[in-house]
Amino acid sequence: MTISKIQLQEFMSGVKASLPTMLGYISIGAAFGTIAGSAGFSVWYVFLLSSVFYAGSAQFIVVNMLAANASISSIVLMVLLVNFRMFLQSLTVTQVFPNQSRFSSLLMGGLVTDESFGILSISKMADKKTSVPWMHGLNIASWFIWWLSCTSFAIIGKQITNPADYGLDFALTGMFAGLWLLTSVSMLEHPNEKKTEIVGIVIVTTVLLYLFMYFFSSVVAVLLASVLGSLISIYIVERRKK
Amino acid sequence: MSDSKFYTVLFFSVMVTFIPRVIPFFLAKYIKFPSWLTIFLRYLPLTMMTALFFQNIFEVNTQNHLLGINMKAVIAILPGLLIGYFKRSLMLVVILSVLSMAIIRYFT
Repeated sequence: MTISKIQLQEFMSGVKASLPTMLGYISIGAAFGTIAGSAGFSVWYVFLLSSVFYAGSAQFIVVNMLAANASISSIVLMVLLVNFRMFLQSLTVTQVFPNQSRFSSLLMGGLVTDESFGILSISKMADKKTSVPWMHGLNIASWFIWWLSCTSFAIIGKQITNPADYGLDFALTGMFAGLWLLTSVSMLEHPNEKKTEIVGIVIVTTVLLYLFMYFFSSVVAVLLASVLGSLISIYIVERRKK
Repeated sequence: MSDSKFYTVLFFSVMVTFIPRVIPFFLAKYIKFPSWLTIFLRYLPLTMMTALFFQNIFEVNTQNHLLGINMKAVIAILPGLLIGYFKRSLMLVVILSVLSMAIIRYFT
């Protein structure tokens, strides 16, 4: 397999596009490394969890549940539930990049995250150039920073002062706020979309989330609210056509 | 926690994470998506980002178990959202949110 100069350029521009995720990944990775390290997980375990498993919030859940001596089946079931939204995200990504080679599919499917998915969506809607090498650059850079940060902070362990003191734990919330803002704005300004419908979809999803959070854990609530919100969008859009 | 338990959990966790993530890539080649699914997938980024964001804003009150709004988070997010809206920059939202939260925590 040869890589052309253009592909390399696209890859590097994907790496650049991952920049906004870096701060969030470093700080949350630091939190994970510190927590897992102080819970008695070895640096090697932290490396495996963050590089091979690579699952963000699900890593915290696994460490918590293992430390609490939960059963293997309950941990795996929880992970399946928490990560199931990735199935839907992958389904969306395949619409953007169909017809990839087997290797490329495995690489992209394995490394898509909430954040890289968000960056893909806003870049696409802003009519920025996206391509398969670009997506790989974005994904691989994010993956690399994540496990590097988790593992480094597992080594430093408890010596580090609390990252929350500097508001750094808030970086991921800021990240999602930004992704939400830019996704909403680009959909609002899209010529094929109706503003009232977009606002309606955002409100419906938020209300659904609020209600679901009473009855389910927040990960399940996020999954249910986004799926139901999108299903209601179909109804809203189809109604307009008639 | 034994080594074997860790590796078993790791193995199965990787499987249930990896398989659902890559299956769509192999299905997409063989299945023509119906139009309702295309619409569903078009709005999914919007609904998913909405849910992921507001999940960070809602919080359970430990005293009365009601779901409330984390006002500190809302205040810390606002400058980033406002300036991010005009500048259309993700990075600005992240940096301003972290800065505002640091300032709020310093004074409270």
